[in-house]
This record gives sequence, C-alpha cells and structure tokens, in this order.
Amino acid sequence: MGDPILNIVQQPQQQTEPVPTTPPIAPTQTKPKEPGTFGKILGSVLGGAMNVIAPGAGSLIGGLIRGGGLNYAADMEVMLQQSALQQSQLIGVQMRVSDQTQQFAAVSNLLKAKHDGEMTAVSNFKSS
Amino acid sequence: MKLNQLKPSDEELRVILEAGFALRYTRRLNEAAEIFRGITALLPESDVPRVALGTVELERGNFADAQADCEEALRYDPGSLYARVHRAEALLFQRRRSEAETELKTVIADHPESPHSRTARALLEVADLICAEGEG
Repeated sequence: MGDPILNIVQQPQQQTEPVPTTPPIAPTQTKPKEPGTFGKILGSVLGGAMNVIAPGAGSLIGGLIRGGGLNYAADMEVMLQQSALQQSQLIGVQMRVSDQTQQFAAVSNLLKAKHDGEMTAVSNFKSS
Repeated sequence: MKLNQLKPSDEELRVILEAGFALRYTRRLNEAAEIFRGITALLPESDVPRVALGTVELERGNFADAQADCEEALRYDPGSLYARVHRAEALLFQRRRSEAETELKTVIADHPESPHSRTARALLEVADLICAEGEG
C-alpha cells in the first residue's frame, strides 16, 4: 500500500511490446563485392593514367576497377563522346592559336626588316 | 630666308629624317609628312624623303598615292631598292599581287644581302595575309 500516486510512479514498467512470434526478416539485398586494397590502388592509378589520354574516361575506368559495375557503360559512352568533342574543340583552338602566332611572327619580322631598311637608308643618306 | 639659302649638313638631314620616321611610328602622320615634304623640297632628286612620304601614305591607306611617290623617286633614282620594295608593297596592298611578287623577287635575286631584300622577303611571307585581308 502507500501513496497511490507514488505507487504508480514506483511501479516497475511492464513490458507491453508483444514478443514476436517469428524472427525478423533479414534484408535480402546483398552488398556488392568489395574490392581488395590492390584493386583500389590499381583503379586509382589506371584512372589517373586514362584521364591524361581521355579526360572523364579515366575516372570511369578507375571506378570500374575499384568495384563499380557495368551499369555505368551508358554514362561512360556519353562521357567519352563529350571528351572526344572537347578534344576536337581543343585541337581547333590550338590550331587557331598556332596560326595567329605564325602571323604575328611574320608581321613582326616585316616591321623589323622595314625599320632596318629605313635606318640603313637614313645612315647612307647624303645631300649630294 | 628662301629655301635655296638653306644648307643643312648631311648629319642634320639625317636627324630630321629620323625625326620624321619617329613621328610616323607614333602615328603623327601629318607632321611626319610635313617633314618628308620639306626634305623633298630641299633635295628633289633624293629617293629617301620621297619614299618616306610614300610610307606615310601607306600608313594612311592611300596605296595609289604611295605608289605614285615611289615611282617619282624611281624617276630620279631608277636603281633605288628602297623605292622598288615600297612600290611593290603599295602594289600588294592594291591586290596587284603578281606584279608585286615579281618586283620583290627581282630585288631579292639582284641584291640578296641588302636590308631592302630582307624587307622584300618579309613582304613575300605576309603576301597571303595582306591579300586575304578585306576579302572575308
């Protein structure tokens, strides 16, 4: 007996949750196979090397080797196309820069030759 | 004082000519032309001030006038390489490319070591650029 209010508070909490009759179902999804340390390192190295040749493709190839799947093949194809486009644009820009450098050198050479010719004409100048 | 009373020394004339070229380089073309005209008046038979006047006309884009100045210089001094090369330059800017190239190649063949031949070679190198300019 005692204080009813205190009794309620002091009364040990009863387990109200029903005891499951069946064990919980384990998740059916299986984790992808984790690559080893060697695979991770090899993937990083090859990815970096491929990025030099084809920017973007290296990251994908590296990702595949590090444990990615072939689900990214479509993405990789898109990225390779973008990479090829960027490469061709870069080559075009390089060619234009090369042409302009060549033109600048030719004009600079002409201006120098004209100046030298004029200075020669002045230094040989005689009134009679 | 009259013009025929002026007797500048060669050194003074060279300094005045250099001043004219300096003015042309700084795009003060009227003042440069004034100087070259003055020396031409003093020494009408000299090729240098006349061709220099022609180069001012080239800078202004008056290619026919530049050609006329160079031809006037050649009338007094037919062997002037300076006049021949700049006449060819004026022809090149008037798209008379074959005439210009023939003249430049002749200058190079006849006087390969001359500084004017170096100008001629440099002009041949930029002939494509000059003739393509304005076409596109």
